[in-house]
Amino acid sequence: MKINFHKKCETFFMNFTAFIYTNKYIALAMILLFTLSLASQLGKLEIDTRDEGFFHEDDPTLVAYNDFKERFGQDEIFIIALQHQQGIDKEFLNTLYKLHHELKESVPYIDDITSLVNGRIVRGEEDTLYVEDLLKVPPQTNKEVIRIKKLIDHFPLYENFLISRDRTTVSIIIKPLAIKEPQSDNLLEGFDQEEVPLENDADRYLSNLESMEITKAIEEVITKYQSSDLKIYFTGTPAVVAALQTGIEHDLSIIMPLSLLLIIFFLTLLYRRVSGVVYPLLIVILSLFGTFGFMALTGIPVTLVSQILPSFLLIVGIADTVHILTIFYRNYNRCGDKKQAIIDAVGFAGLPVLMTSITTACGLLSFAWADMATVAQLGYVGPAGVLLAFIYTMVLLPVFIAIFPVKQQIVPTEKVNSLVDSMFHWIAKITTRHSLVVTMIFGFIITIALYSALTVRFSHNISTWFPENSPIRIATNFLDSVNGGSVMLEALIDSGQENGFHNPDYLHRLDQAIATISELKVSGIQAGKVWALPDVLKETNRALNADQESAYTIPQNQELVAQELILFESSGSDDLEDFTDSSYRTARLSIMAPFEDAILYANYTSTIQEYLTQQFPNSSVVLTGKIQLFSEIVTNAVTTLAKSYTIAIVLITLLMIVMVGRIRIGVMSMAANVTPIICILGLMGMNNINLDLSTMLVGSLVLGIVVDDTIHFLHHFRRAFETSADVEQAVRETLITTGRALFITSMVLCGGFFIYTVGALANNVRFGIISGAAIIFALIADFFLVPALLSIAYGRKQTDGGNLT
Amino acid sequence: MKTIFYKKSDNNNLQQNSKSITMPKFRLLLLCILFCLPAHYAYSQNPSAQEIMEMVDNRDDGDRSVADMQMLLIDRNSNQRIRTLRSFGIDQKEDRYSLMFFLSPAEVKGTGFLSYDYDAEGKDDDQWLYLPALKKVKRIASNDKSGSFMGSDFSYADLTKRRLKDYNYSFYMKQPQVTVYGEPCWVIESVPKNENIVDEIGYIKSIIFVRQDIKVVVRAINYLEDSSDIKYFDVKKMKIIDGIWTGLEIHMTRKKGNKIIHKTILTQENIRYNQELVNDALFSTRNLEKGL
Repeated sequence: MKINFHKKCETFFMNFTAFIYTNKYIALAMILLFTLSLASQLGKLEIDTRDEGFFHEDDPTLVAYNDFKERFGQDEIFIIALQHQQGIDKEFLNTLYKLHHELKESVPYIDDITSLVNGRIVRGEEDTLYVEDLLKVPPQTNKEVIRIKKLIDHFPLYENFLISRDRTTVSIIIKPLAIKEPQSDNLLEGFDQEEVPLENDADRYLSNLESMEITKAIEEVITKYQSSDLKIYFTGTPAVVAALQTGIEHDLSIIMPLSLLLIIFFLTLLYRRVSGVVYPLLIVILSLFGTFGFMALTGIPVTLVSQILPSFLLIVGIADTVHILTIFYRNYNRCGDKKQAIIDAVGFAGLPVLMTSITTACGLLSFAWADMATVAQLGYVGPAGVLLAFIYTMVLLPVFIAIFPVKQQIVPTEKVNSLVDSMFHWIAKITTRHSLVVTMIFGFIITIALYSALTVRFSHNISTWFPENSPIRIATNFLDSVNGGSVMLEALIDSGQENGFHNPDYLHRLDQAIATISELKVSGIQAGKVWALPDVLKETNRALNADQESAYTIPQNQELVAQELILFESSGSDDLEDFTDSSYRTARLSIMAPFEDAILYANYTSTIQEYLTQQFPNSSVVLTGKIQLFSEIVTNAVTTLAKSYTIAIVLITLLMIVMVGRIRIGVMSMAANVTPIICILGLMGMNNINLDLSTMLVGSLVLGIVVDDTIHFLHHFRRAFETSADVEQAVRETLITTGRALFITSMVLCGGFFIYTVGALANNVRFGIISGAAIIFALIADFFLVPALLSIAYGRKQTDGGNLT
Repeated sequence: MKTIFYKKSDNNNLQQNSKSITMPKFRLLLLCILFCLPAHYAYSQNPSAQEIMEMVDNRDDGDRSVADMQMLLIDRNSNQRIRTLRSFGIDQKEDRYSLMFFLSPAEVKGTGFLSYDYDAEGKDDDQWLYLPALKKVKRIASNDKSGSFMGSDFSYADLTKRRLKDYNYSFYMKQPQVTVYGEPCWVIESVPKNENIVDEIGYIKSIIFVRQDIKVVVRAINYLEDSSDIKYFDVKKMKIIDGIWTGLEIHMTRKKGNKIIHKTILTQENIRYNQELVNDALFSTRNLEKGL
């Protein structure tokens, strides 16, 4: 029955190829039309490196974050830190003034720009209350500079935010818009009270493209001010994300051409024919256009995760064409009939190519259920790309061969490489005669690797992806050292009642929380700055009491709190939303912390959540902001990892069972396929390499590929075993034929993955090394473990070979 | 476009004719809604933007007024808060004095605000604040009028008569005329002449809708200096009181694109003009401290 199935498939593929060959122009036109219609969408393709991209739209963390942005505006800030060699003097303050205003004029999508220039101060002198900007006009005398410096010292709220504690660094903070709303051309529409809902709600939030625009505009301005006397550092989470996008574009622009070169080199070496290089390249490039067109059509952006797709598809797609072309050339050289040669080639290799495409697609499909949106997107696009590559190969290869002439080459009989052959002989002997020992050695290695794999943890720290000397990393580290951070965590404390935060008791608790969290150190993380409503209230109270330091306290009576807040609201500041909602029901506690590994943030945020819940027993406390997003990414990554690995293993095992027709052989071959993954994890554990967003994909991704080797191995083994009924001989024959092909394809895959190591982003480098190593481990497992297991399963000599598959 | 030659004596006619009209402006807050009933100006059939704004500026906006104001503050989640105030206003030649006290909520009752708004260029306004819980009057030194008025969406600038000479006026090219609440209006773009004025009022420009028949500003779109938000000023109800068009309900809505960020509905009751008790002596820090 199994043989019948194989035969039926063979016949189907042959008939299909004959049909395509005959209707070559129609087939070509249809494929080109299909590709063009997909490729026409490419203009819509976006790159999205925002952290929000990791979350599904209905993820509670993202919902809370977006809700926060709706209520209080953007939490992410761009920070431009200035360090003047001569310190804060007249010249510096004048430059700061000029730069502040130039940024305000030149940078798009600004919600707010804050620096010492427009820092609002409320101070009291006798019976007069002064409400003014710190640097209304740039100072002209040194006396004025001294006065300004004194004022800065008088307002602790600015410390470690607008100016570093050691007074060496001054920052300009740019808060971008959280939400962009289209302006109507019809003026009167603005008076309509009804809000017009947009088609795609997510489009309302500032996109990567706009964030990049802001970044570029800021960079253009600050470059003009940079000098030997004035060092300017530019960071903040949106700047880091923008730098990441630039990094991805840069790496892709190197990796893609190199992958293509590798493929051209490999194909030239293999075939020494123009058609042997051009046809596979055309096919993979067209399937890439198709895949990216599909992404654009479905609105799936290129992300930190899916950036691996182009070169991955290039490598995987080329394998499809190579399997068929190799057989075609051999047939053609022998018989000289193009049509029959391609029909036979597709008939012979069609099924294994389909099977390997399905297993690779399943490896990728396992991501579709991921809790991380970006990974899930790879789960939709990846399989589509792999299957597209399969379809393109099946259609275009016969079409090209039918349309264009192919030169027949009379090749001398293959030279026997005695060294390689004797090695294959040796492997066949060892693995079949000492199958138990070989299996036990692998068992031992797996045990050690498993033990070490358990120490592997997840890590997500984008800043470490950049080279150490990159401006963004230098700036981020610098801000962490002088201001204690640049990333925000926001706590929303809902008192449950209107004017709840007029209550002095609540305000005192909030004040205590500021002090406690400022001192709190969890997993090495300590906030550089913590602020909330009590800070402005204390400033106002002090100003109302003729600026006496003793009055830098929260008023004791509720009426005075309410009246002072009326003064604050009326003091020319629209900053109320920086501290509370308009009904004083929910207070905002802002925490600025260093750029750290998300796994450390997870501990930090849970400690703060616990503390605030205790501190405000009758209120609800919600944590959000960038740090909360980061720490949730860790949680999602762990579940994503568990889900995708399980799904990939189960799906591919089932496929293997179906393909080989026996549960035992299917499961056994899977053991050989899982081994390289465990070994890789073990190696990572031994070398303290953590899983990150790129390396976490390796398992499922590589599983989908390495299983192909096993399929080819089993496919040929079956045929050989049917003839000889001898495991050792069958293994030997399989190694000499398929083994050699596996070796070559593995080298190409390895090369393809190792190309990632030329990337500037560290995550690409790690991904390349780990994936490449996994391919080598897989080859070793296929050469040694699979024959050993087959030998155990069938004994060295087996007579009912026909039952094997 | 019809030409309007109003004389003071025409007021009664206008009042009679306008009984059905429930909109207009109120003087006390001078929310730049002022309308024009001047007798001694005759403009051409097609007045320029500048001339229209002069007509608006020259109209009688009442004097020695007293009124009860309610501010309904509505946030983006439709939570509402009410603040009520009693306010007094008097003209001192070109200057304007005003005094107001919070009536509610209880926590801020008695909080008072006194301001002398000077017309002279370069002269900063004088402002005093009284906080009953502190029992102290504080002078507030600030030339910035862009801040929120008592936590509402109105700024001090919205409540202060703008100096005509500080702005360039032109017709709004895209829609120089529109119909608002069934009445034809001119649409005029007002742009501050320099940065200092922008800093003072907090707007980079305003688009002002002036009703053609009565020369009242009935709507305005204000573009904020420090934000991409836009503030929509909308006079929903007007009435003639003591011969003066007075706004009874005015909405100020702060929007980001289509999204309402915050909104204030200002309503005014018990408005009376030319009150004897509203005299020069009332507008003193002593009275501010004394309260109502």
